[in-house]
Parts: sequence; structure tokens; C-alpha cells
Amino acid sequence: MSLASRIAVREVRKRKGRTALVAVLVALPLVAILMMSTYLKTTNLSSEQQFAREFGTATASFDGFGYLPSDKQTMIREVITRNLGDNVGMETYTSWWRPLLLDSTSVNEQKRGKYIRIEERTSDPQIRKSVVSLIGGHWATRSNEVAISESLAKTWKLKVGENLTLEMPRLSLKVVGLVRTHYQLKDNVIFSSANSGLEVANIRTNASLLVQSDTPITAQKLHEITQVEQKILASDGDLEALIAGARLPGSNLAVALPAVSWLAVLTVIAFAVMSIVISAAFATSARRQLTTVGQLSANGASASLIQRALALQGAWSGLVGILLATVVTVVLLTFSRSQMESLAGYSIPALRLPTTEYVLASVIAIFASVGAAWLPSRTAAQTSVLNALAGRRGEAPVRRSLLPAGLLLFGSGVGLEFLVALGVQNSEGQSSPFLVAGSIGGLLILAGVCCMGPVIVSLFHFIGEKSSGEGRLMARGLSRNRSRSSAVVVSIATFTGLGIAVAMGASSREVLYDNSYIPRNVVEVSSSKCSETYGGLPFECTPRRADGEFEDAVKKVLQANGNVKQVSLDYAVANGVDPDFFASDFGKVEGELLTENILIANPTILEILQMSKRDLKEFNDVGIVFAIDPELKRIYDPTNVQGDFNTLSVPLAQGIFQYPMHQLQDDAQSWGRWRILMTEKRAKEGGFTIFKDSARLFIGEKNLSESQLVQLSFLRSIAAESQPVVYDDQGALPRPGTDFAYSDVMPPISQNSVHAFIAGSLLVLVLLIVAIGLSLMASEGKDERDILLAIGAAPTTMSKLAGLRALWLSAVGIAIAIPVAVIPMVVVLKAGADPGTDPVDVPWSLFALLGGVPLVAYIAARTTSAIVQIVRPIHVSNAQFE
Amino acid sequence: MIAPILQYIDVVKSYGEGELQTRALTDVSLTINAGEFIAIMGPSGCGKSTLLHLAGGLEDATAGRVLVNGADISTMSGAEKAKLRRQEVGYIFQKLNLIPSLTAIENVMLPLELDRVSKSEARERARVVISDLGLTHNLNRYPSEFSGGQQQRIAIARSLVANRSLLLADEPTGALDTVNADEIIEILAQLPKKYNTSVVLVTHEPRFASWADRVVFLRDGRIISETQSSAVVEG
Repeated sequence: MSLASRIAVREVRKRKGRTALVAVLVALPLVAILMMSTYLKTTNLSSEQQFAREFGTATASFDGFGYLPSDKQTMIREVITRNLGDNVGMETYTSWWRPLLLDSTSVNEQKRGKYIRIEERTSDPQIRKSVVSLIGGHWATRSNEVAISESLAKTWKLKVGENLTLEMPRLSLKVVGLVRTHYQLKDNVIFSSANSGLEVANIRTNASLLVQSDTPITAQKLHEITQVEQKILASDGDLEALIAGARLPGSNLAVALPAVSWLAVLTVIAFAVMSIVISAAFATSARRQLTTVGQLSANGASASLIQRALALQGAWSGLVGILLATVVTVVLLTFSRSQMESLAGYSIPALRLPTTEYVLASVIAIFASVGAAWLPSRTAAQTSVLNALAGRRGEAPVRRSLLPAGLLLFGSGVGLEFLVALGVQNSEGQSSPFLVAGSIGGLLILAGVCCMGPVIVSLFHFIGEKSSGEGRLMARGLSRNRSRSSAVVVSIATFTGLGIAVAMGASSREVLYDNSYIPRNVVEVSSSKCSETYGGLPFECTPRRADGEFEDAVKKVLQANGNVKQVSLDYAVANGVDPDFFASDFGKVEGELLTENILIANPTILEILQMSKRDLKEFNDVGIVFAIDPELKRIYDPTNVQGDFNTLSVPLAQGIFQYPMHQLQDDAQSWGRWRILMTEKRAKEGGFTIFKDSARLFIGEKNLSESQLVQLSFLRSIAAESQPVVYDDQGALPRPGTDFAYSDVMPPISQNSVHAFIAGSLLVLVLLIVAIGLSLMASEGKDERDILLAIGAAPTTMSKLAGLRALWLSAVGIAIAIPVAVIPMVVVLKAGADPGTDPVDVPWSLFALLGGVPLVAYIAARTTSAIVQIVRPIHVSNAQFE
Repeated sequence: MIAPILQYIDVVKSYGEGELQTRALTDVSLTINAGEFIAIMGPSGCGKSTLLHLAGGLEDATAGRVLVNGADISTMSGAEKAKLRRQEVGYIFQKLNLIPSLTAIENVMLPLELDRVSKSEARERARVVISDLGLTHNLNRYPSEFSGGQQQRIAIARSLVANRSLLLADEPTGALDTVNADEIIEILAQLPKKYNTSVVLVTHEPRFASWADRVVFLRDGRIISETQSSAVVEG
């Protein structure tokens, strides 16, 4: 072993605290990356594996819609046997989805209503043995028995032998079996026999015929079989049992490995950031090794040898970190298989270890660690012999080139991100080059901040001049230990900047625009009576009230959230509309908005709509409003942005009749279902026919819960059952009849919640970094602490000093982060935005929350210091006095 | 009658426990009066520094009492001991006396600032004391830019600026050349008369001890003799 390496090993062994810190800092990202790699590799199934996961040992799957009548099943089996020989296994299974509502108070309201997959199964599957297996009880053999999936058993708190009592539909079934659905562990499935009462006539069912054959099935053969099958099925016009397609193992495209390239980029970025903190540890330690450096110099060691000895400590510490990461990863992998299965959602046969990623990430970790040690080693190696022997460190002034270099790197990074944003917008799916370029841009920005960090930290010197006592000690100390302070500040700035960037990306108005097609606490119950003239489109429908039982049912569903307001709706329909217009283009002809059902405004509607004052005034003046606010118009129907919404055109037989119309200028709680709102007065003036009390609006006190959505969906399916289903070659036709309108889109997470989450995460990270920084300062600052103790600094002075350091380090880090994140994000968002839109949403609430982080850091550091002094009173270190 | 500024009464100081226990001081009793200059001599490891540490509450006595201006240090809290060092007892060490990140005048101002004296007043008082000690120029430079002798003067100034009544100097000339060392001792010797500050000087050098009013000899943690300084010179 070379002298430099031997010295490095000794120092690594001697400085156990620093070695442990560096090892942990190396191991943390490495463990995270190895765990992620293992998970991605394990769950990144080939198309064959995916096929096997879903279909077991099948070699082909024929998928269809609707029930496969037994006579046709026999015919299809004959076709398959004819094509593939006698030695063919076949298995049919039928399933469908439907909402069910549990009649139980032991399960909370949110979990009572669920969409459940129902599968008809009364015996063990042969081909899907590895996909669905009974783990308790037996399969349902009677119509009142069911076996249920583990997930459903957990959700509805059911055990074998208990009754499954449903409120919707009103049904009681006995749970006789527990099933593990290996292909999708979280599937809520009920396995029933035929005629269990869970069937719904008008709900689409999926029928699959699985084939297991020793003879390889080619795509050509599959196609031939499918053609014959379709002929059989279509022979008597039974379009309900159309064969939708057939699949072979490997017919799906295998999932590529984009996640792995993301991981490589993530690894580089993670270690780049972590190396800043590691560098602080080595900078502190280099100061404490000055005597060793002095001894080496005095005995003729060259500067390069000294630097090697210092930098190699990074390599050895990095190796310890890799070893630690390996051990931790092995332990975690041993115990985390069920968590991985839970995350993946299906049974994992075996973990696939990421050998290549392990080697790659370890090499990057070593590079990062050596780099982090090498930077401070340059200054230490150049210290004069006498200064080094005396433990005095030369503190060179900040290099003038650092600021321009930092700005140049930062600018280059921002420029590259701008080009990447432009490229992504104009690309056609090729993401890898942009990913790499974007990452390089990010690293350039990081490098720029690293260069500017010492310059910014050196400004503490001037703060020291303006302050006194603890404030001056803090400022001068931070300024003097520039390398360490700037490492802490840059680390905080990097993490905070990432948080701000994420917040800005997530809070783009498109993502967080909280306005659904219909308000989330409102259900509209309507019906319509249509002509039966299917041949001549369109239907001539007139609005009318739905049956009272549906209205009552909806009201009951909403009453779970408190009082329900009920409003009667009146519709206006133009007289003498030319049906040919709607036949050609129902929505819009050459930029003109055509009539459909027009809602007559009433006070409740206006209250819900929440128009701005100026929009309301215009509406009252004009009498007709296009009631979709600018944002909803942009999001839900961007093609309409250029339309003329200032005119309502009514295509009458005698020609197009036009009315002036107001379009909303400001955001409102608009309502996609009612695009046009008219005053009753205007409707009468315009000669529209008014259908009084055509629909009912039910307004709940709170937004609809998932359980309520299930109940409404159930009611809707009941309503649908009473309507005739009509098919043509395009599929199912729209059905006239009772319908419910409600928003089943979950509201976006509020911006404030996103910001609070980010601020909370950043607080933890900042406290962690500050804690590491203060620990390093404490280890280095023993001399200063002894002097302070000797001149009478009280324990409160010591804790206040710790608090002030935490406050300023975090405050400066956060202050740097804001421009560093906002500038690139503004550039990127603007470059990638549609023309004429403003995608930038400055996260002011996040900034406000971040403003509290330094205060928390101050209190935490001060309190911790005070507690530590009580537990372990500070004593003067021996080095000072003996 | 002159009031004692510092009293050690049957003081014992031990380090470690059980078989590893080491006695640093054994039954030490010593009284130092206001305005007195005492030198403590003895071989390395005899307990000289420990004696000083006990006087400022940097360490606690295992047994016995240490009184500063009549107040028993062993009954004081950490904050009270800190206040004692800020206002009553000053220290000067052989090396590492100054905080490297503060300028010379800021180092001197520090005890006053920690006592919430206004910045302007602290600066003025610091300037006066430093000037008294013969340093007038470039007070805004950092410690590393001063010679060893100058650094010790700055440290003495810091000890005097809060009008402390007791100054404990632990081999303050150990890192200095002869000329600078003589100058520092001369300054210390003048302090009792000039500021009525009592000075306790730990030294190996009989030459420096000769400046003191009394010389106390320690060996193996015990006071073996106590003489007038002239006797040291003659001896």
C-alpha cells in the first residue's frame, strides 16, 4: 500500500465520527437507489412475464365482450381443436365490474361503497392456477355463496363463514372462501356462481377463453382462428358476443427500461448534492489534520502526496459507505418483499438484484466521495509548514473569478433547460436525450450555485461588522469557515430549490384548477323523452322530470353529508330548429355556437355559478351568457378557445337566427353541463319554449365522497337497466331516459396542501443539514468554545450562538434557493407553454411557509444546545490548558 | 484588614474513578488578597493549572471550597460561574487566547458585549484599555496578523476591560521570546497597582516569579512552601 493510501486508511480509522458521517451520507442515497433499482427490475416484467401474471400457463387468450353462450363455446372449442390438435387445454372465465354498497356500520362511509370485479368461478382454475388461488374455505357452489379476494376481505372486514350483506343491491351472500389474486393483490373481487344476483343486464361483461397448447401458436394461426370465431358468433347476428381480440405471450411490447436511465440520472444528481455535504465534513477534518500535514511537509512530503493522502480518505470513507449500504440493502431486501408486493400490487415470484446498477452507483459514490475530499485537500496541502505545524490555516480571500464563473455556469444551465423545454415541446416522444440534457442543465445550475456559495457566505463578514456579541461571533465564524458554511448553505439551497421547482411545476394552473364539469356537491337528476326515429338523427328529445323514486334516492344519498337543497330547473328550447344542422355538426359550425338545451337562470343557479360582479352585470344586461369560465374553456375544450362566444346562433328552418350573448370574462364556478344560461325574460322575448320544472338539482353541504359516488353510479346503472340498449356498427347508441349528472373526478390536491407538504419535507431536510453543519462546527470550534468559556460566556450564550448559526445558515440557503429555482422554472415553464398563456404561478404560500423554517431551525438548534449543555455540561477541553 | 479575593479551603481535586483515580490537588488551602500578585511554581503535572481552573469555575473541586470575593463557587450554577468569569475572574493562557475570526478590538469588546454593554461604549472602553497596554494601531486587524507578544497584550486587555478583580495567567509567556515575555510580565506586575487587580501567575521561570509579592510552590498537588518573591531570586 502506498504511503498516501496508508496515511488515508489510518486517518479514516482514527476519525471515526467523520468516517461514520461520510459513510452514512454515501450510504443513504446508495440504499435508496439500490432499493429503487431492485423494485424496478423486479417489477419491470417482460411481455411474457406480464402475460403469465395475468393468464397463468395459457399460451393464448381470446378476449370477448358479453356472455359466451355455451353452444358457441363448444363451437369455438372445436375450431381451436381443429387448428391446434387434441392436446389443448381450454378455460373460460367471465367477469364484470359493478358498484356495490355494503350494509354495515363496522366499515366507515368511505369504504362502504366500492367498485367490485365479479368473476364467475366455482372451482380451481387449471390454467390460471398461479393467478388466482384459494387460500381459505372453498369456492362458491351455491347461488348464495361467494369467495372474496383478500383485499376485499380486508376492506370490508369480512371472514370466511360471515355474511356479506349488501345495501345496494339488497342482497345477502355467505362468504365461503378467501382468494389470493396474485396478478393484482389489491383487486376487490367477488367470485360467485351463476345467478348470484350480482349480475347486471346492461353492464358490459368480459369473457376470456384461455388456451394452453403444446403446439406453438403463431400470430397468423391466431388470426385465422379469430376470423372463424367471429363468423360463428356473428352467424345469428349476436353482436353482444363480439370477439374483441386475441393475445399471445410476447404480443405486447415489453416495458422498456426508461426508469433505469432515470435512475442513472438520479444517482448522479443525488451524489452531486450529497458530495457538497460530504465536502463540508472533509473541509472540517482537513483543518484538524493540519498538524499531520505539517509533519509530512516538514519531513519532505510533496504537496501532491499530501493532497493524495487527504483525497484518498474520501475513497476509503466511500468504500465504508458502500459496505454499509450493501449491508443495509441486504437487510432491507430480506424484510421488504411484502412491502414491494404491496407497492407493485401483485405477487413477486423472486427479487431481481440490480448488479449493474450496484456497480455503477458504487463507482459514482466513490467518485463523489473522492471529489468531495479532494476539493478541501487542495487548500490544506498548500498550507505552509509552520502554519500547518501550529494548526493555523491560511484563509485566502475569495477568488474573484468565482462570482463570474458561478453566474456563467448558472446562466448556461438555465439556457440549456430553456432549450430542453423547447425541444420537449416540439419532440415526438423521444425523451432520453432531453432527460440527459436536462440533467446536465441541472448540474450546471448546481455548479453555479456552488461557485457563488463562498462569495455569498463571505458577505457574513460585513454582517459581523454591524452586529455585536453573539451576532458578531456567529457572522465572523461563518465567514471565516467559508468552505464549510457555503457547503451547508448550498446544500440547503439545493434541496429548497428542488422543492420550489417541484411546487412551481405542480402548481401550474392547469393542474390545480379546481373547477369540475359540475360542482362536486351537486347532482342533477333529469330525464328526457325522445322520439323513436333512430333512422333520422337527431333524436327529438324534450326535457322532463325523472321518476320520483330516483330523485328520492339521490336526495337520500346526499343527506349523508347533511342538509340537501333542492332546486327546480327550467329549460328553454328554440322553436323550429332545423334538424339538419345538428345532423352535420351538433356543437359548432364555422365558429358559431348553436343552441341546445338552454337553462333558465334562477337565484340558486346564479349563487352556484359565482359570477364576478362585472360578468353578472353583463349577463343581466344581455340576458344570455355562455356560462363557461375562461379557464374551464381552456382546459376542457381548448379547440373552442378561438370560437365566437359573443353570439348565440339558432339554426331555424328559415335561416340562422343570432342573439348577442355575453361570455364570462372572469373565473367562476362554471358548469360544463349548462353551457348557455338565459334569463326567463330574454327567453320569452326570443320566442323560446320554456319547459318548466324539467329537472331537479340536489345540492349537498359537502363534496361527494367515494362511497356516495358508488351509490350514484349504482342508481345510474339501475336507471340504465330500464332503458333499451341499442347497438349499431359504431357501438352502443346514447340512450334517452333518466340520467344523473355529477362530478366523479376527485378534486385536485389543493395548492396549499402541496406547499405545506413540500415545506414540511424541506424543514426536515434543512434541520438535518443544519444539524450536520453545527456538529462539524462543534468539532472544529473547540478552541473557540474554550476561549468563550474562559471569558465568561454563559450557557445561554452558547445555545444562542448555535441558534443564530442555524437561523442564518438556513435563511441564506433558502434566500439563495428562491432565485435559483424561480428563474430556471419561469424560463422552462414559459418556453414550454402554449402561446398566449401564462403558466407561471409563483408559490407565494410556499415562500411564506419557508420563511418560518429558519425560525424553527433557530428554536431547534437553541433548544438542542441548551438540553445538551444540561445533560453534558461543557468542560474546557484538555488541549487548551494542559 | 485587606479582604481576600480568592480563597482555597482544603481543596481536593481528583480525576477518574476507582483504581484509575488520580489526585491533582490534595488539601490545598491558600488565600489571595485584593491587589496582590502571586506566582505559582512547580514541576509539570503538579496541579498548577488545575488550581487556576478551579478559581474560575472551569472545573469543580472534588472536596473543599473555593471562594471568590467570599462567594463559594461550588454552589454556583453554570450561568453564575459564567457571570463570575465575565465580571470577576479573567484568564490568560499560553496560546489560543484570541478568537481568530474577530479583530483585535472585537476580541477585547467581547466580554462587555456578552454583558449587554452597548457597542459604542464597549468599543470605547476596549480602546482605552488597549491603549494603556501600549497598542494603539491597527486594532481592526485579525489576531493572526499580530505578533505573539501583541496577541498576549490583547488577551490581557480583554481580561481587564470588564474591570475584573482577579486575573489568572497560566504560563502566558510560554510561547513568547524573552523580550516579549519580559514585557508581558511587566504589564501583569503593574496591574495590581494600576487597576487594583489581583494577579495569579503560573510559571516555570523563577525570573518571572520574582516580580510577584508571594510565590507558592506546588508538588504532587500539595503546597510545599510559600515564600516572598525576593527569596526566590536569592534562592
